[in-house]
Amino acid sequence: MRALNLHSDLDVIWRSRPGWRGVLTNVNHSDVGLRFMITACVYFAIGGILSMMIRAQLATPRSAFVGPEIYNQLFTMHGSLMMFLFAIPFIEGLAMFMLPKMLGARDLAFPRLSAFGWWCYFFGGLILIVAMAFGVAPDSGWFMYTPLSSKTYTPGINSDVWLIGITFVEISAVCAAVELVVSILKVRAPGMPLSRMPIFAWYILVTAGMMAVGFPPLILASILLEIERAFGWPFFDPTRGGSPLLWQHLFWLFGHPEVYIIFLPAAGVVSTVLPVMVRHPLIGYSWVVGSVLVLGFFSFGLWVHHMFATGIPHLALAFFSAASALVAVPTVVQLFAWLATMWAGKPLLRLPMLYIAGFFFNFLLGGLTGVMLAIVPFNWQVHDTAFVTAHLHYVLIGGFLFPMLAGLYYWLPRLTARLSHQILGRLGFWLVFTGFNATFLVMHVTGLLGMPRRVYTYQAGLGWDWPNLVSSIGSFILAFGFAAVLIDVLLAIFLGKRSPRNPWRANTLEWAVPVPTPSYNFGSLPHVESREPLDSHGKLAVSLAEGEGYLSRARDNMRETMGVSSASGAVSEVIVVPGNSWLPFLTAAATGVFFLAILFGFYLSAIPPMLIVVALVWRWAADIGAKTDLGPLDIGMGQRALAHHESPDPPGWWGSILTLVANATFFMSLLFGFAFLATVASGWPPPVLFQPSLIAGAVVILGVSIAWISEVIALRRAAQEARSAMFSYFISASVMALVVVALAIFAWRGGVDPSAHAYGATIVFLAAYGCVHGVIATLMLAFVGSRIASGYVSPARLLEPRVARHWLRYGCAVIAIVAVVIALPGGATWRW
Amino acid sequence: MALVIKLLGGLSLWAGGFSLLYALHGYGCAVNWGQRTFGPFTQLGLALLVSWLALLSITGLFVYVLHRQPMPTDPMLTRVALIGAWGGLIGMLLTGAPVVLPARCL
Repeated sequence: MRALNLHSDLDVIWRSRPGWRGVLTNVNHSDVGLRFMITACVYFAIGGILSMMIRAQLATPRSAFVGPEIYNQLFTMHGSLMMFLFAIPFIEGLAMFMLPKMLGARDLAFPRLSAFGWWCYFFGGLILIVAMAFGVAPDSGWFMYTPLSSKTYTPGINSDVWLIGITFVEISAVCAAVELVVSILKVRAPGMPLSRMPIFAWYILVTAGMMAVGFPPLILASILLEIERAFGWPFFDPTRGGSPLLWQHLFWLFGHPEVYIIFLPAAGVVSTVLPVMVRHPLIGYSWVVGSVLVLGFFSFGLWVHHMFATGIPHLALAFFSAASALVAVPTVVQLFAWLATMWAGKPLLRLPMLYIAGFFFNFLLGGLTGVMLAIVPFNWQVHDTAFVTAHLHYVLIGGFLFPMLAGLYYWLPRLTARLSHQILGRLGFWLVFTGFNATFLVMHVTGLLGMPRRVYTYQAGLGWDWPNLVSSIGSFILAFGFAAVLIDVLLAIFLGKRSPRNPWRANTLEWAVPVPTPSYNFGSLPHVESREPLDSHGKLAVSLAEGEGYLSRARDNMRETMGVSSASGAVSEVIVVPGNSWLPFLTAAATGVFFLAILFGFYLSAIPPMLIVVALVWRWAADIGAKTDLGPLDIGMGQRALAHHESPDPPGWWGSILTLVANATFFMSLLFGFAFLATVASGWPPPVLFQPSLIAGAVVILGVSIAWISEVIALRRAAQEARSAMFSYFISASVMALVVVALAIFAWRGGVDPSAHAYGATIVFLAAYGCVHGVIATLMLAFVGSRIASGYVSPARLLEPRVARHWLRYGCAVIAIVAVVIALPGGATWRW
Repeated sequence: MALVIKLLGGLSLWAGGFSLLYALHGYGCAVNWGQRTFGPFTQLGLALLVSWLALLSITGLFVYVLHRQPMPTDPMLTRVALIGAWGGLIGMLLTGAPVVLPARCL
């Protein structure tokens, strides 16, 4: 009876609202994760249909199925949908759904952030799909190379649609990255140190870290190109000091790590599912974790191998060629760990295992052709041919889709509470496997025969006829295979047998969650004693459901989950996560209106939605926290812990740090761009140099120093008596506001024209970046002042002042660096 | 923080070193260091070689220190840190090795 009451009480606290309000306000990680996955599958289906149209066009020479304009949109949208709107969001969704369950938690660290991310993703994708329906889809390739995507060669809004839509989706990815990293590090069951985490969590931790630093370069590139298209600032125009190669560098700085961002979670699925299928723990857990870490880093040193044919000096090519070959080593370490695990176990050839076998075959081929492409002379021979198309599909379909289908079938009982129909599932596998290889194996030959990529037709008699026909037939078999999988899953959902709680007899915590999944995951939270908790504690699921773990009572309508010390897994705090909220939807909608105003060139109209976003974010931050010190709370099992507001190490602090890391990557990419243009682009040095104003420069440097010092004093006061610090925060905010004005004057008086030369454009952009961060710091300091006034800050509750300190210091550092960087080249011509 | 440094230090050194070599090469070519000689070396070649050897030494030192100071409470994390550190060192050795090649700004 007690257990029933517990579950009933928890459900009241955690469930979403009924009806359409529930749709718009739901922040539950299971629902948001499912939304991500379902939306990604819809985009996948659209991308798949586009690929069939591409194959229909290429099936025969001189085909008249579609013309070149439509064909350009088809392959651009196919690539963009699959990379940006399917692969990464699907991973995010799977991780969001699965991780809290695997880590023994009730939710992620920042549920509203996940929900906001989904709305951004949904709206961003919608922009692209609607544009396609109106015939103005992007048509410059999924990599949007300049100058093809520049205003001169793409005068319509096609490129703008891509830049705006994809940037919107990237915001979602950065949100997901912050969410996942902090959740994995902080929101776990007590007793689960890093060394006991499920292997999947390690993979997602590294992947999410890569997303946090991998996406900002592309966000920067997209903003720069959109500014060039809108206002004529020539970042990529070689006639005015810009360089198209800058776009390629920034794009592939993101684009190559993205391949691993896509592959690593899929490998994580293999490392999770394979040991269950072969009934043996993963061999070489530490080596796998280490190799994932190495892979994550090395993947950032490969980007130039996409640019081997651009005329970069041979020595630079050799750096990247060596790195591209070297990256195979950590990949192979994982492969050997999987083979050893299979060797030691007894493989059951169930459906997930079939897909893993398919993965081994296909990914091995993709990996081998990857090593071939890492070798510069070979790369030059096959550059921009169908060989590369075949290679990338072996990596992405072989290395991502096959493991994800293994994961789908493995976790289907967890996702749907139903079992699948094995016969239709197996038919689906064989169709997918056969169709995939028929399509892409032969495409290597097509490429070696010299057929370029992205051509809408070809002449007969070049030897390309039969391999193209085979590829086209194969693609339709592949499509039938995906249709069979879809039907199988739908049949499972609507007609499948009810699944038991743990149908695979697996040992990770997600299988201790009741079926169907309740909104709060666990009646009580476990204390983890081994890497395979269900194995070491046979009745764990029942005891948790009966409330014998942590947080086994519903307290004051609060959504509670446990926070731990990131390394040791010791109890650290009780995390109180926010409940259902309109804020994620409203903030994403206002952001969407802002982006649409930019897309249609209504630049002044973009200001009100931007201000609304700022107001909503303020409200977002003001919506949480506590007005009283709660002190240590009873968490069950004879222990007590502080609420996260009072903890020295709360998730919000980690989230702030990680957001700043992503932000700093953006800034570093910008500085790299400036240095790249100055050293490599033609037309430098620029005709007019920045002329620094001594007074404005001195005010900037003095201002950041005063703001920095006054904040130190303010936080010291707040730690003793919060009220006494309120005015110090307002003073600090006022000083920062003055610094912003001074920096703007400093940039304005420099006398450079941003539309005349890439130098001026970069200078003004740098100054704008500094001003934006000055404004953010100002708002945060003012926010802390207002929070002190309303009683949310005390010597025990200092999270908000501490987070504001991060942003103030980052803002001060950025402004000082910007002032020095933009003044240096023209420093010999100071004026008052 | 100590844990983060131990886990990511070797690979961060590789990332920083790799970026430094690439940037140095780009800058050196832009300011014609490849044309100026310094004994048997060009100025660019010498700068790259010295930087590479210095980076190798620093990363090697990090690996040595890590071997001397394992994390006694968690042998698994010690192993991961060592794998990362060795990964950084081997990465520095192999990806930086092209600095010994003669053609530099072609």
